[in-house]
Amino acid sequence: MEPSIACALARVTTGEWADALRAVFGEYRAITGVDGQSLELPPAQAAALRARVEAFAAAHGRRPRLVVGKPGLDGHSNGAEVIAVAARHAGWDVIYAGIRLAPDDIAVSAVEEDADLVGVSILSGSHLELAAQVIDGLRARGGGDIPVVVGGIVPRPDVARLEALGVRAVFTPADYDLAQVMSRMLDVVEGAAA
Amino acid sequence: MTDAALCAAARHGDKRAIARLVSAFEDPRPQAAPRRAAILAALADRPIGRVVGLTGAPGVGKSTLVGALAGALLAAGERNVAVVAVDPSSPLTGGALLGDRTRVRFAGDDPRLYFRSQASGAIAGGVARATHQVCRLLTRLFATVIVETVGVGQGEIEIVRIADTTWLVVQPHGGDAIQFLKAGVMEVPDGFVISKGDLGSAAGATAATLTAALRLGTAARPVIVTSAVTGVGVAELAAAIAAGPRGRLVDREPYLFERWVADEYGQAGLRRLAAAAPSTAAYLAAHGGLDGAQLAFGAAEACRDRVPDPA
Repeated sequence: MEPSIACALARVTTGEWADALRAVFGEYRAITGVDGQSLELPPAQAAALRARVEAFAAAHGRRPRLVVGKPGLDGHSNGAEVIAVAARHAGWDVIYAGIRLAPDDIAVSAVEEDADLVGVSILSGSHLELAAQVIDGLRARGGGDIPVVVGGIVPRPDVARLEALGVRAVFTPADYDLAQVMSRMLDVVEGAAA
Repeated sequence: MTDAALCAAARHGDKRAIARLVSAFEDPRPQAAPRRAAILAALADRPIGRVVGLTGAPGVGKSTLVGALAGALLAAGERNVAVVAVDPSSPLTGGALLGDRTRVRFAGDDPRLYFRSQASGAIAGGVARATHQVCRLLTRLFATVIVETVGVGQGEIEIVRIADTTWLVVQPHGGDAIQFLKAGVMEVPDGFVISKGDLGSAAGATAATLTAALRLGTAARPVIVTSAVTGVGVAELAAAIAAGPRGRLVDREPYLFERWVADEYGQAGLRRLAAAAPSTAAYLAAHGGLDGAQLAFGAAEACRDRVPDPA
Protein backbone atom coordinates (compact mmCIF):
# COMPACT_ATOMS: atom_id res chain seq x y z
CA MET A 1 0.00 0.00 0.00
CA GLU A 2 2.68 2.48 0.96
CA PRO A 3 4.58 2.19 -2.34
CA SER A 4 1.24 2.64 -4.13
CA ILE A 5 0.59 5.89 -2.24
CA ALA A 6 4.09 7.06 -3.06
CA CYS A 7 3.40 6.28 -6.70
CA ALA A 8 0.13 8.23 -6.61
CA LEU A 9 1.87 11.25 -5.07
CA ALA A 10 4.52 11.03 -7.78
CA ARG A 11 1.70 11.04 -10.38
CA VAL A 12 2.57 7.61 -11.73
CA THR A 13 0.05 6.49 -14.34
CA THR A 14 -2.30 3.54 -13.74
CA GLY A 15 -0.49 1.64 -16.49
CA GLU A 16 2.95 2.18 -14.92
CA TRP A 17 1.61 1.20 -11.52
CA ALA A 18 -0.06 -1.94 -12.92
CA ASP A 19 3.08 -2.92 -14.87
CA ALA A 20 5.16 -2.70 -11.67
CA LEU A 21 2.68 -4.88 -9.77
CA ARG A 22 2.50 -7.33 -12.68
CA ALA A 23 6.30 -7.66 -12.70
CA VAL A 24 6.26 -8.73 -9.06
CA PHE A 25 3.03 -10.72 -8.73
CA GLY A 26 2.28 -11.88 -12.29
CA GLU A 27 -1.21 -11.62 -13.71
CA TYR A 28 -4.38 -12.72 -11.93
CA ARG A 29 -6.52 -15.22 -13.81
CA ALA A 30 -10.04 -14.64 -12.66
CA ILE A 31 -12.30 -17.51 -11.74
CA THR A 32 -15.34 -17.60 -13.96
CA GLY A 33 -18.52 -19.52 -13.56
CA VAL A 34 -22.08 -19.65 -14.73
CA ASP A 35 -24.41 -19.24 -11.82
CA GLY A 36 -28.17 -19.44 -11.72
CA GLN A 37 -28.56 -19.90 -15.49
CA SER A 38 -30.39 -22.56 -17.44
CA LEU A 39 -29.96 -23.27 -21.12
CA GLU A 40 -33.18 -22.38 -22.94
CA LEU A 41 -32.63 -24.06 -26.28
CA PRO A 42 -35.65 -26.25 -27.12
CA PRO A 43 -34.75 -29.60 -28.77
CA ALA A 44 -36.50 -28.91 -32.08
CA GLN A 45 -34.78 -25.56 -32.51
CA ALA A 46 -31.45 -27.00 -31.42
CA ALA A 47 -31.82 -29.76 -34.02
CA ALA A 48 -32.54 -27.21 -36.75
CA LEU A 49 -29.48 -25.17 -35.74
CA ARG A 50 -27.32 -28.31 -35.72
CA ALA A 51 -28.49 -29.20 -39.23
CA ARG A 52 -27.26 -25.79 -40.44
CA VAL A 53 -23.96 -26.28 -38.62
CA GLU A 54 -23.51 -29.72 -40.20
CA ALA A 55 -24.18 -28.23 -43.63
CA PHE A 56 -21.52 -25.58 -42.98
CA ALA A 57 -19.08 -28.28 -41.83
CA ALA A 58 -19.69 -30.36 -44.96
CA ALA A 59 -19.08 -27.31 -47.16
CA HIS A 60 -16.00 -25.96 -45.36
CA GLY A 61 -14.28 -29.01 -43.88
CA ARG A 62 -14.77 -27.88 -40.31
CA ARG A 63 -17.40 -26.82 -37.80
CA PRO A 64 -17.81 -23.07 -37.44
CA ARG A 65 -15.28 -21.83 -34.88
CA LEU A 66 -16.44 -19.20 -32.39
CA VAL A 67 -14.01 -17.34 -30.13
CA VAL A 68 -15.79 -15.93 -27.06
CA GLY A 69 -14.12 -13.49 -24.71
CA LYS A 70 -14.69 -10.57 -22.41
CA PRO A 71 -12.48 -7.50 -22.87
CA GLY A 72 -11.95 -5.08 -20.02
CA LEU A 73 -12.24 -5.39 -16.28
CA ASP A 74 -15.94 -6.15 -15.90
CA GLY A 75 -16.20 -9.71 -14.61
CA HIS A 76 -19.83 -10.57 -15.32
CA SER A 77 -19.14 -13.72 -17.25
CA ASN A 78 -22.63 -15.29 -17.31
CA GLY A 79 -23.61 -13.86 -20.70
CA ALA A 80 -20.39 -14.97 -22.39
CA GLU A 81 -20.62 -18.43 -20.89
CA VAL A 82 -24.30 -18.94 -21.73
CA ILE A 83 -23.53 -18.04 -25.36
CA ALA A 84 -20.47 -20.33 -25.37
CA VAL A 85 -22.47 -23.28 -24.03
CA ALA A 86 -25.44 -22.60 -26.33
CA ALA A 87 -23.14 -22.55 -29.36
CA ARG A 88 -21.50 -25.79 -28.24
CA HIS A 89 -25.00 -27.25 -27.87
CA ALA A 90 -25.79 -26.08 -31.40
CA GLY A 91 -22.76 -27.96 -32.73
CA TRP A 92 -20.13 -25.21 -32.97
CA ASP A 93 -16.53 -25.55 -31.91
CA VAL A 94 -16.31 -22.82 -29.27
CA ILE A 95 -13.00 -21.49 -28.01
CA TYR A 96 -13.54 -19.75 -24.70
CA ALA A 97 -10.75 -17.22 -24.30
CA GLY A 98 -11.82 -16.12 -20.82
CA ILE A 99 -12.56 -12.85 -19.08
CA ARG A 100 -10.69 -9.68 -18.05
CA LEU A 101 -8.78 -9.79 -21.31
CA ALA A 102 -7.08 -7.02 -23.22
CA PRO A 103 -8.80 -6.45 -26.58
CA ASP A 104 -5.55 -7.56 -28.24
CA ASP A 105 -5.70 -10.89 -26.34
CA ILE A 106 -9.04 -11.60 -28.01
CA ALA A 107 -7.70 -10.57 -31.42
CA VAL A 108 -4.68 -12.87 -30.99
CA SER A 109 -6.96 -15.76 -29.97
CA ALA A 110 -9.24 -15.20 -32.96
CA VAL A 111 -6.33 -15.09 -35.40
CA GLU A 112 -4.48 -18.10 -33.93
CA GLU A 113 -7.67 -20.17 -33.80
CA ASP A 114 -8.70 -19.29 -37.38
CA ALA A 115 -12.06 -18.19 -35.98
CA ASP A 116 -15.14 -17.87 -38.16
CA LEU A 117 -16.70 -15.48 -35.65
CA VAL A 118 -15.61 -13.49 -32.61
CA GLY A 119 -18.17 -12.85 -29.87
CA VAL A 120 -17.28 -10.22 -27.30
CA SER A 121 -19.37 -9.65 -24.20
CA ILE A 122 -19.24 -6.17 -22.67
CA LEU A 123 -21.39 -5.01 -19.77
CA SER A 124 -19.20 -2.17 -18.56
CA GLY A 125 -20.56 0.56 -20.83
CA SER A 126 -17.25 0.78 -22.68
CA HIS A 127 -18.55 -1.21 -25.65
CA LEU A 128 -17.71 1.44 -28.26
CA GLU A 129 -14.06 1.73 -27.21
CA LEU A 130 -13.52 -1.98 -26.56
CA ALA A 131 -15.23 -3.19 -29.74
CA ALA A 132 -13.17 -0.72 -31.77
CA GLN A 133 -9.99 -2.00 -30.12
CA VAL A 134 -10.86 -5.65 -30.82
CA ILE A 135 -11.57 -4.84 -34.49
CA ASP A 136 -8.35 -2.77 -34.77
CA GLY A 137 -6.43 -5.63 -33.15
CA LEU A 138 -7.83 -8.07 -35.72
CA ARG A 139 -6.97 -5.76 -38.63
CA ALA A 140 -3.43 -5.25 -37.31
CA ARG A 141 -2.92 -9.03 -37.43
CA GLY A 142 -4.40 -9.65 -40.87
CA GLY A 143 -7.72 -10.83 -39.41
CA GLY A 144 -9.87 -7.88 -40.45
CA ASP A 145 -12.11 -10.27 -42.38
CA ILE A 146 -13.10 -12.18 -39.22
CA PRO A 147 -16.59 -10.95 -38.28
CA VAL A 148 -17.21 -9.62 -34.77
CA VAL A 149 -20.48 -9.61 -32.84
CA VAL A 150 -21.08 -7.89 -29.51
CA GLY A 151 -23.33 -8.85 -26.64
CA GLY A 152 -24.04 -6.76 -23.59
CA ILE A 153 -25.83 -3.79 -22.12
CA VAL A 154 -25.87 -1.62 -25.22
CA PRO A 155 -28.20 1.41 -25.38
CA ARG A 156 -30.21 1.49 -28.60
CA PRO A 157 -28.44 4.54 -30.13
CA ASP A 158 -25.10 2.76 -29.73
CA VAL A 159 -26.17 -0.22 -31.87
CA ALA A 160 -25.79 1.81 -35.07
CA ARG A 161 -22.47 3.18 -33.82
CA LEU A 162 -21.16 -0.35 -33.20
CA GLU A 163 -22.34 -1.38 -36.66
CA ALA A 164 -20.54 1.64 -38.11
CA LEU A 165 -17.34 0.41 -36.43
CA GLY A 166 -17.76 -2.90 -38.29
CA VAL A 167 -19.61 -4.96 -35.67
CA ARG A 168 -21.83 -7.40 -37.58
CA ALA A 169 -24.54 -7.94 -34.96
CA VAL A 170 -25.36 -6.61 -31.50
CA PHE A 171 -27.22 -8.63 -28.89
CA THR A 172 -28.77 -7.01 -25.84
CA PRO A 173 -30.93 -8.31 -22.99
CA ALA A 174 -33.87 -7.89 -25.40
CA ASP A 175 -32.44 -10.86 -27.33
CA TYR A 176 -33.42 -13.43 -24.73
CA ASP A 177 -34.32 -16.06 -27.35
CA LEU A 178 -31.11 -18.09 -27.53
CA ALA A 179 -32.18 -19.94 -30.66
CA GLN A 180 -32.63 -16.61 -32.42
CA VAL A 181 -29.19 -15.45 -31.25
CA MET A 182 -27.59 -18.67 -32.51
CA SER A 183 -29.42 -18.35 -35.81
CA ARG A 184 -28.26 -14.75 -36.33
CA MET A 185 -24.68 -15.74 -35.46
CA LEU A 186 -24.84 -18.44 -38.15
CA ASP A 187 -26.24 -15.86 -40.60
CA VAL A 188 -23.15 -13.72 -40.00
CA VAL A 189 -20.76 -16.68 -40.46
CA GLU A 190 -22.52 -17.90 -43.61
CA GLY A 191 -22.56 -14.36 -45.00
CA ALA A 192 -18.83 -13.94 -44.35
CA ALA A 193 -17.97 -17.34 -45.84
CA ALA A 194 -20.09 -16.87 -48.99
CA MET B 1 -4.46 -15.89 -50.41
CA THR B 2 -2.97 -18.90 -52.19
CA ASP B 3 -1.39 -21.72 -50.19
CA ALA B 4 2.01 -20.72 -51.60
CA ALA B 5 1.54 -17.20 -50.23
CA LEU B 6 0.32 -18.61 -46.90
CA CYS B 7 3.43 -20.82 -46.67
CA ALA B 8 5.72 -17.88 -47.43
CA ALA B 9 4.02 -15.79 -44.72
CA ALA B 10 3.98 -18.70 -42.25
CA ARG B 11 7.76 -19.05 -42.58
CA HIS B 12 8.04 -15.55 -41.17
CA GLY B 13 5.76 -16.34 -38.26
CA ASP B 14 2.57 -14.73 -39.61
CA LYS B 15 -0.02 -16.25 -37.26
CA ARG B 16 -2.98 -15.62 -39.53
CA ALA B 17 -1.24 -17.60 -42.25
CA ILE B 18 -0.21 -20.37 -39.85
CA ALA B 19 -3.77 -20.60 -38.51
CA ARG B 20 -5.27 -20.93 -41.99
CA LEU B 21 -2.77 -23.64 -42.91
CA VAL B 22 -3.60 -25.52 -39.69
CA SER B 23 -7.26 -25.54 -40.77
CA ALA B 24 -6.24 -27.27 -44.02
CA PHE B 25 -4.57 -30.00 -41.95
CA GLU B 26 -7.75 -30.43 -39.87
CA ASP B 27 -9.98 -30.71 -42.93
CA PRO B 28 -11.35 -34.29 -43.10
CA ARG B 29 -12.50 -34.05 -46.74
CA PRO B 30 -10.62 -36.11 -49.38
CA GLN B 31 -9.75 -33.01 -51.43
CA ALA B 32 -7.66 -31.72 -48.52
CA ALA B 33 -5.03 -34.48 -48.97
CA PRO B 34 -3.42 -33.06 -52.15
CA ARG B 35 -3.56 -29.61 -50.59
CA ARG B 36 -1.63 -30.88 -47.56
CA ALA B 37 0.92 -32.60 -49.79
CA ALA B 38 1.52 -29.32 -51.68
CA ILE B 39 1.86 -27.32 -48.45
CA LEU B 40 4.37 -29.79 -46.99
CA ALA B 41 6.30 -29.82 -50.27
CA ALA B 42 6.53 -26.03 -50.08
CA LEU B 43 7.99 -26.34 -46.57
CA ALA B 44 10.17 -29.39 -47.26
CA ASP B 45 13.43 -27.47 -46.73
CA ARG B 46 12.50 -26.73 -43.12
CA PRO B 47 13.96 -28.72 -40.22
CA ILE B 48 11.47 -30.98 -38.44
CA GLY B 49 10.68 -30.01 -34.87
CA ARG B 50 9.89 -32.20 -31.92
CA VAL B 51 6.45 -33.22 -30.72
CA VAL B 52 6.01 -33.38 -26.96
CA GLY B 53 2.87 -34.98 -25.53
CA LEU B 54 1.44 -33.87 -22.20
CA THR B 55 -1.29 -36.15 -20.97
CA GLY B 56 -3.10 -36.90 -17.71
CA ALA B 57 -6.47 -36.94 -16.03
CA PRO B 58 -8.86 -33.94 -16.21
CA GLY B 59 -7.94 -31.12 -13.85
CA VAL B 60 -4.39 -32.24 -13.01
CA GLY B 61 -3.02 -28.99 -14.39
CA LYS B 62 -1.94 -29.81 -17.94
CA SER B 63 -3.02 -26.48 -19.46
CA THR B 64 -1.54 -24.41 -16.67
CA LEU B 65 1.72 -26.32 -16.99
CA VAL B 66 1.73 -25.80 -20.77
CA GLY B 67 1.72 -22.03 -20.30
CA ALA B 68 4.71 -22.14 -17.95
CA LEU B 69 6.51 -24.79 -20.00
CA ALA B 70 6.27 -22.89 -23.29
CA GLY B 71 7.99 -19.90 -21.72
CA ALA B 72 10.62 -22.11 -20.10
CA LEU B 73 11.39 -23.79 -23.44
CA LEU B 74 11.99 -20.38 -25.02
CA ALA B 75 14.21 -19.43 -22.07
CA ALA B 76 16.12 -22.71 -22.60
CA GLY B 77 16.93 -21.56 -26.14
CA GLU B 78 14.16 -23.12 -28.26
CA ARG B 79 13.59 -21.02 -31.40
CA ASN B 80 9.78 -21.12 -31.11
CA VAL B 81 7.01 -23.23 -29.58
CA ALA B 82 3.52 -24.21 -30.75
CA VAL B 83 0.81 -25.69 -28.56
CA VAL B 84 -2.07 -27.90 -29.75
CA ALA B 85 -4.58 -28.26 -26.92
CA VAL B 86 -7.24 -30.93 -27.43
CA ASP B 87 -10.52 -30.79 -25.52
CA PRO B 88 -13.49 -33.15 -25.90
CA SER B 89 -16.26 -32.84 -28.46
CA SER B 90 -19.83 -33.60 -27.47
CA PRO B 91 -20.93 -37.12 -28.42
CA LEU B 92 -24.50 -35.76 -28.45
CA THR B 93 -24.26 -32.58 -30.51
CA GLY B 94 -20.82 -32.72 -32.14
CA GLY B 95 -20.00 -29.31 -30.68
CA ALA B 96 -17.16 -28.52 -28.28
CA LEU B 97 -16.27 -25.97 -25.64
CA LEU B 98 -12.52 -25.56 -25.75
CA GLY B 99 -11.34 -23.92 -22.55
CA ASP B 100 -7.59 -24.43 -22.48
CA ARG B 101 -6.94 -20.87 -23.64
CA THR B 102 -8.36 -19.50 -20.40
CA ARG B 103 -5.49 -21.12 -18.48
CA VAL B 104 -2.61 -20.21 -20.72
CA ARG B 105 -1.51 -16.66 -21.02
CA PHE B 106 1.50 -15.90 -23.14
CA ALA B 107 3.26 -12.57 -22.69
CA GLY B 108 1.77 -10.08 -25.14
CA ASP B 109 1.62 -11.63 -28.53
CA ASP B 110 5.01 -13.20 -28.67
CA PRO B 111 5.71 -14.16 -32.30
CA ARG B 112 7.64 -17.20 -31.02
CA LEU B 113 4.51 -18.76 -29.49
CA TYR B 114 1.45 -20.16 -31.25
CA PHE B 115 -1.55 -21.70 -29.47
CA ARG B 116 -4.29 -23.70 -31.16
CA SER B 117 -7.32 -25.38 -29.60
CA GLN B 118 -8.62 -28.54 -31.22
CA ALA B 119 -11.85 -30.47 -30.67
CA SER B 120 -11.39 -34.21 -30.19
CA GLY B 121 -14.20 -35.07 -32.58
CA ALA B 122 -15.60 -37.42 -29.92
CA ILE B 123 -13.19 -40.26 -30.63
CA ALA B 124 -11.48 -42.19 -27.87
CA GLY B 125 -7.73 -42.08 -27.44
CA GLY B 126 -7.12 -38.60 -26.03
CA VAL B 127 -6.32 -36.82 -29.29
CA ALA B 128 -8.31 -35.90 -32.40
CA ARG B 129 -8.09 -37.67 -35.77
CA ALA B 130 -6.41 -34.55 -37.12
CA THR B 131 -3.91 -34.03 -34.30
CA HIS B 132 -1.08 -35.81 -36.09
CA GLN B 133 -1.95 -33.98 -39.31
CA VAL B 134 -1.62 -30.63 -37.58
CA CYS B 135 1.69 -31.79 -36.06
CA ARG B 136 3.00 -32.62 -39.54
CA LEU B 137 2.55 -28.94 -40.42
CA LEU B 138 3.55 -27.33 -37.14
CA THR B 139 6.79 -29.32 -36.83
CA ARG B 140 7.85 -27.66 -40.11
CA LEU B 141 7.28 -24.23 -38.57
CA PHE B 142 8.16 -24.66 -34.87
CA ALA B 143 11.12 -26.18 -33.03
CA THR B 144 8.82 -27.75 -30.42
CA VAL B 145 5.13 -28.61 -30.70
CA ILE B 146 3.44 -29.41 -27.38
CA VAL B 147 0.30 -31.53 -27.69
CA GLU B 148 -1.93 -31.34 -24.65
CA THR B 149 -4.39 -34.24 -24.74
CA VAL B 150 -7.95 -34.43 -23.61
CA GLY B 151 -8.10 -35.28 -19.91
CA VAL B 152 -7.61 -39.05 -20.07
CA GLY B 153 -8.27 -42.13 -18.00
CA GLN B 154 -6.18 -45.26 -17.79
CA GLY B 155 -6.31 -46.48 -21.37
CA GLU B 156 -6.12 -43.50 -23.74
CA ILE B 157 -2.57 -43.57 -25.00
CA GLU B 158 -2.86 -42.52 -28.65
CA ILE B 159 -0.54 -39.56 -27.95
CA VAL B 160 2.50 -41.86 -27.79
CA ARG B 161 1.87 -42.71 -31.47
CA ILE B 162 2.35 -39.05 -32.38
CA ALA B 163 4.78 -37.54 -29.90
CA ASP B 164 8.56 -37.94 -29.85
CA THR B 165 8.31 -37.98 -26.07
CA THR B 166 5.23 -38.15 -23.85
CA TRP B 167 4.93 -36.96 -20.26
CA LEU B 168 2.15 -38.07 -17.94
CA VAL B 169 1.01 -35.38 -15.52
CA VAL B 170 -0.10 -36.71 -12.13
CA GLN B 171 -1.37 -34.50 -9.34
CA PRO B 172 -0.60 -34.88 -5.64
CA HIS B 173 -2.69 -37.73 -4.22
CA GLY B 174 -3.07 -38.88 -7.84
CA GLY B 175 -2.74 -42.52 -6.87
CA ASP B 176 -1.08 -45.04 -4.59
CA ALA B 177 1.55 -47.60 -5.57
CA ILE B 178 -1.07 -49.99 -6.96
CA GLN B 179 -2.38 -47.33 -9.37
CA PHE B 180 1.16 -46.67 -10.52
CA LEU B 181 1.84 -50.38 -11.13
CA LYS B 182 -1.14 -50.84 -13.45
CA ALA B 183 -0.93 -51.43 -17.18
CA GLY B 184 -2.02 -48.82 -19.70
CA VAL B 185 -1.36 -45.13 -19.28
CA MET B 186 1.36 -45.72 -16.66
CA GLU B 187 3.44 -47.91 -18.97
CA VAL B 188 3.90 -45.73 -22.00
CA PRO B 189 5.12 -42.25 -21.00
CA ASP B 190 8.79 -41.31 -21.27
CA GLY B 191 8.58 -39.34 -18.05
CA PHE B 192 6.26 -38.19 -15.28
CA VAL B 193 5.37 -34.76 -13.97
CA ILE B 194 3.92 -34.29 -10.50
CA SER B 195 1.93 -31.06 -10.83
CA LYS B 196 0.88 -28.60 -8.13
CA GLY B 197 4.28 -28.95 -6.42
CA ASP B 198 3.34 -25.92 -4.33
CA LEU B 199 1.10 -28.29 -2.36
CA GLY B 200 4.27 -29.33 -0.56
CA SER B 201 4.46 -32.68 1.20
CA ALA B 202 1.55 -34.20 -0.77
CA ALA B 203 3.48 -33.63 -4.02
CA GLY B 204 6.67 -35.00 -2.51
CA ALA B 205 4.92 -38.10 -1.17
CA THR B 206 3.26 -38.81 -4.53
CA ALA B 207 6.62 -38.38 -6.29
CA ALA B 208 8.26 -40.80 -3.85
CA THR B 209 5.49 -43.41 -4.27
CA LEU B 210 5.64 -43.11 -8.06
CA THR B 211 9.44 -43.29 -8.13
CA ALA B 212 9.35 -46.43 -5.97
CA ALA B 213 6.71 -48.03 -8.20
CA LEU B 214 8.71 -47.24 -11.33
CA ARG B 215 11.75 -49.15 -9.99
CA LEU B 216 9.77 -52.31 -10.76
CA GLY B 217 9.60 -51.27 -14.41
CA THR B 218 12.07 -51.98 -17.16
CA ALA B 219 13.56 -48.61 -18.10
CA ALA B 220 14.30 -45.79 -15.66
CA ARG B 221 11.98 -42.84 -16.27
CA PRO B 222 12.29 -39.38 -14.77
CA VAL B 223 9.82 -37.97 -12.23
CA ILE B 224 9.82 -34.17 -11.99
CA VAL B 225 7.83 -32.19 -9.43
CA THR B 226 6.62 -28.91 -10.94
CA SER B 227 4.54 -25.93 -9.93
CA ALA B 228 3.23 -23.38 -12.37
CA VAL B 229 2.58 -21.12 -9.36
CA THR B 230 6.13 -21.03 -7.96
CA GLY B 231 7.87 -22.11 -11.17
CA VAL B 232 9.68 -24.95 -9.40
CA GLY B 233 10.70 -27.81 -11.69
CA VAL B 234 9.50 -26.16 -14.90
CA ALA B 235 13.00 -25.29 -16.14
CA GLU B 236 14.13 -28.84 -15.29
CA LEU B 237 11.23 -30.26 -17.35
CA ALA B 238 12.03 -27.89 -20.22
CA ALA B 239 15.68 -28.98 -20.16
CA ALA B 240 14.69 -32.67 -20.21
CA ILE B 241 12.37 -32.04 -23.17
CA ALA B 242 14.97 -29.98 -25.03
CA ALA B 243 17.49 -32.82 -24.63
CA GLY B 244 15.03 -35.37 -26.02
CA PRO B 245 14.58 -36.72 -29.55
CA ARG B 246 12.78 -34.98 -32.39
CA GLY B 247 11.53 -35.70 -35.88
CA ARG B 248 10.08 -39.17 -35.39
CA LEU B 249 6.57 -38.29 -36.59
CA VAL B 250 7.42 -39.42 -40.11
CA ASP B 251 8.33 -42.91 -38.77
CA ARG B 252 4.79 -43.19 -37.42
CA GLU B 253 3.14 -42.70 -40.81
CA PRO B 254 2.52 -46.43 -41.48
CA TYR B 255 0.62 -46.68 -38.20
CA LEU B 256 -1.24 -43.41 -38.79
CA PHE B 257 -2.17 -44.53 -42.30
CA GLU B 258 -3.47 -47.88 -41.01
CA ARG B 259 -5.53 -46.04 -38.39
CA TRP B 260 -6.97 -43.83 -41.12
CA VAL B 261 -7.84 -46.87 -43.26
CA ALA B 262 -9.50 -48.52 -40.25
CA ASP B 263 -11.47 -45.33 -39.48
CA GLU B 264 -12.65 -44.90 -43.06
CA TYR B 265 -13.05 -48.48 -44.29
CA GLY B 266 -12.94 -50.72 -41.22
CA GLN B 267 -11.31 -54.12 -40.86
CA ALA B 268 -12.19 -55.00 -44.44
CA GLY B 269 -10.23 -51.94 -45.57
CA LEU B 270 -7.20 -53.10 -43.57
CA ARG B 271 -7.40 -56.51 -45.26
CA ARG B 272 -7.51 -54.88 -48.70
CA LEU B 273 -4.51 -52.72 -47.72
CA ALA B 274 -2.59 -55.84 -46.65
CA ALA B 275 -3.44 -57.44 -50.00
CA ALA B 276 -2.41 -54.35 -51.99
CA ALA B 277 1.21 -54.15 -50.82
CA PRO B 278 3.78 -56.28 -48.98
CA SER B 279 3.72 -53.78 -46.11
CA THR B 280 2.06 -50.52 -45.18
CA ALA B 281 5.43 -48.77 -45.45
CA ALA B 282 5.75 -50.12 -48.99
CA TYR B 283 2.26 -48.85 -49.86
CA LEU B 284 3.18 -45.38 -48.54
CA ALA B 285 6.46 -45.39 -50.46
CA ALA B 286 4.70 -46.43 -53.66
CA HIS B 287 2.26 -43.53 -53.39
CA GLY B 288 4.58 -40.75 -52.30
CA GLY B 289 3.78 -40.65 -48.60
CA LEU B 290 0.73 -40.26 -46.40
CA ASP B 291 -1.29 -37.82 -48.51
CA GLY B 292 -0.69 -39.67 -51.77
CA ALA B 293 -1.51 -42.97 -50.11
CA GLN B 294 -4.79 -41.61 -48.74
CA LEU B 295 -5.75 -40.32 -52.16
CA ALA B 296 -4.81 -43.60 -53.90
CA PHE B 297 -6.49 -45.81 -51.34
CA GLY B 298 -9.59 -43.60 -51.31
CA ALA B 299 -9.77 -43.73 -55.11
CA ALA B 300 -9.42 -47.52 -55.12
CA GLU B 301 -12.19 -47.82 -52.54
CA ALA B 302 -14.46 -45.47 -54.51
CA CYS B 303 -13.81 -47.58 -57.61
CA ARG B 304 -14.65 -50.70 -55.67
CA ASP B 305 -17.96 -49.15 -54.64
CA ARG B 306 -18.92 -48.67 -58.29
CA VAL B 307 -17.87 -52.07 -59.67
CA PRO B 308 -20.12 -54.96 -58.66
CA ASP B 309 -18.26 -57.72 -56.89
CA PRO B 310 -17.82 -60.64 -59.38
CA ALA B 311 -18.42 -63.13 -56.60
